[in-house]
Amino acid sequence: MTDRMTQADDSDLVALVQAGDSAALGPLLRLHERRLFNVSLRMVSHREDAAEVLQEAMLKIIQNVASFRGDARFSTWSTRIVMNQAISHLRKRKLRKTTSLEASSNGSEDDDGPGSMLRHRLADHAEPGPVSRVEHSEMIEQLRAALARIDEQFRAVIVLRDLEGHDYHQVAEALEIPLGTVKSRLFRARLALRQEMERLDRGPAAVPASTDAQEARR
Amino acid sequence: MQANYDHEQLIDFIEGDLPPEGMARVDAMLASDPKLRRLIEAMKADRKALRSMPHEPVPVPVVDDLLVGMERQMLLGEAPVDEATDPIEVAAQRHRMRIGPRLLRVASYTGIAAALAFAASVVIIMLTESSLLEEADPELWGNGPAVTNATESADAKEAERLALADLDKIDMAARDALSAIGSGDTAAAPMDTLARADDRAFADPLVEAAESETTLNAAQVAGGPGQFALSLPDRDQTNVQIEVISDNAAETTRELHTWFARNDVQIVSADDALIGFGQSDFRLAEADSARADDDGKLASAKRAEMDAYHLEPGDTVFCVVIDNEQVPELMSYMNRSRDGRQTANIIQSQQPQRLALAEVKRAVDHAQRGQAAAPGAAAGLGRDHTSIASKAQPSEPASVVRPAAPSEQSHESEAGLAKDGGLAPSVARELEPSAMPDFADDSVALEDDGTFARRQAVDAVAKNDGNSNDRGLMAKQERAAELADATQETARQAPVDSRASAQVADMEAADASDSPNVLPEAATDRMKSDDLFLAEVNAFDWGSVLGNQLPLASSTPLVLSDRGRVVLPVVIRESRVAGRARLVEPADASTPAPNAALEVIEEPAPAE
Repeated sequence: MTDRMTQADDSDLVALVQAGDSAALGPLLRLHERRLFNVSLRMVSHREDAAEVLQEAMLKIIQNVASFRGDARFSTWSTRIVMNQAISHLRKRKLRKTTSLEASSNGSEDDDGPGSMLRHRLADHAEPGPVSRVEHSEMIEQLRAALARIDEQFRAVIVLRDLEGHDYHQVAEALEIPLGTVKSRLFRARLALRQEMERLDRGPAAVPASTDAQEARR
Repeated sequence: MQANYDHEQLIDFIEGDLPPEGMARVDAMLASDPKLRRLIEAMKADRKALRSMPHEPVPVPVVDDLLVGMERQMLLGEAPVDEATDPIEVAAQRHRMRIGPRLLRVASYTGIAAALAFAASVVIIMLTESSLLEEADPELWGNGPAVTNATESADAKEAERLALADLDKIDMAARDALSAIGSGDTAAAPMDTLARADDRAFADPLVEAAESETTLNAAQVAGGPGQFALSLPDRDQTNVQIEVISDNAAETTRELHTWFARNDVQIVSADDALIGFGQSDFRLAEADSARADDDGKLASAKRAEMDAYHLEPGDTVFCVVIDNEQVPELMSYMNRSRDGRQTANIIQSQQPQRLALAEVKRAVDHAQRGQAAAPGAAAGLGRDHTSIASKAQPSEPASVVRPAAPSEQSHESEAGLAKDGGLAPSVARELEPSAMPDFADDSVALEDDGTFARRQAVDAVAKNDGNSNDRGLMAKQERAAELADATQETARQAPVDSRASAQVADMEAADASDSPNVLPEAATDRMKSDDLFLAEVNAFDWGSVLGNQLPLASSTPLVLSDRGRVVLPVVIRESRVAGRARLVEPADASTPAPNAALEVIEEPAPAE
């Protein structure tokens, strides 16, 4: 489905929902469910948490769709809600971690049970050539790990720009930041990501338990 | 470094948003600063990789669940929770409000469960204490405890009966599954029970080891009541060999099995086979003795073992893997006199030798090199040190029986391996030809219909897709694929008794591929649950490589295929193969699970 079609469908469905047709709610939400789940997943790096965030965000969307004015696209607006929910979730999680004795865990935040790597790998098929596939798959794994370690603001801009393919304007709307800030934040996010990638390249010993995203932010 | 540059310009460059002259300007700038150039190139690569990340499916139908919940609440006509008038919003709020009561309900259930657990633990402590006191001074208790004793005794007997029934059930299930698969009736395999068997025998240590990927045992190969196990005892575990004296073997064995079941002790070797127990012990059951006697090597090995342990004919030996902290308890139990006679002894106790993963890999590398240097060696052995083939095709169950002669080929590789000084001595010893069980006499070639060879060839071609400069190799691989196709065609047309020629073609095809058997990645949906597979692995490393990751499913005898490999039934659990396993395309997409998927657990080391 093209973006334009999605947008057209969005507008119609949103209009129907706003007119009181609750039957249109399901199709509208399902249209964005997978995309929004992936935004959530990339942000919180944990499938169950991502589903939880998505559920909360969907509730907010349902509650507020009547007041959606259409200034931005529905997709951007819903992404913003998911993004805010995910950031809120991450902050709560960080708080829980800080107060937990388990805060010194060595595992990356994207651990999703023992089978996660396999699942991720399985999801990453369809690239040409086994060797390059493996390399690509390893790089994707590493990027996931690095992404999970950088500051959530940086993560958000990368998720929206690279994973969701939003343009700068949409990124600015979804993150509620000035358009001019997007590029500089994106550059710093890429830099932070690269630093984490290099740390991961050097091995686990070089990776601190907590992110040093603040350093990258400077 | 980057602080001296215009971030926006750089990000536009990375994003490809600059006009041509701008791109040229940044290009020139990067040419003068190699460090920055590397950084920007890496950022571009990151961006490209990120953009290729696929969208993952939603694990639970969030929207549907939400809407169903809301609809139900609307239909139930619960009172509005606040001033909201929009029915959708009201329903959403109600749905959310239900989370609170649900949490409360969960909390209250948890509280009740905790209280019950506490009460149960108090009762258990009281019972234990009464039992200890009774043992300390039975006279103190008069007639009262006799009732308790009777009850406890009845309970214990019932527990014993259940434990043994459980073991039997698992054993039967494993046998049934293998039998069903062997006959092509995959649907009849009782996978649930097998999964339980797997859970019983392979608990956390295996998972931890597979996940940590840091240490592996030397070959630990054994069989038990219901499962053959390539076991990986934990660091905190000990292997114990127990001799049961023949004059009261059945009763004592039953007693011990019950004790092991009750104490969750893993029996890793039944009395009919004892292979590779930390060292190269090898023992055959009495039933196999006649055949074993034909082979002087085996007979002498058996005699030496019996002499070493002062075993009498008819004595049985079995092995367990037991937590170190349980060893004193076991010894105490063993030393307990039964009817005034000692009926069982611990004849050997040792902690497993551990082998670094790197050493195992090195062993595999050496074997591969040894294989490459051995002219005319069988395809696959040592080259693809672990490959797994789906064997049980419903339409054509594997059935070829032929006298395989893999031992010379096997031993060439293994000898080279054993001579290498880099290996741990125990592993080198295990890999010595003399230490290897000689399957030549009773080996059964469980051969497929050419699918495997076809897959090997196709995979070899696939592997070189991305690096196809070597035209000679490509030509060889294409020839291999053609050969394999011809093999399949021959197998389809030929009756069973002419499969041998198909096998030869099969082996030629694999030889011609001249490339490690790297299996392609595909079939993403197969590995969603535990599945039963038949695994084909090289004889020499089945214990050290495969065994550390894949538990076997049954005590069905191991079978040596041609090409010097052992075919094993294994239960693969997704959680246990994480990071090491890759799912590969089923040979025949129409073949139903559980046999359809193929699995490889260890990729060959890259060629140097």
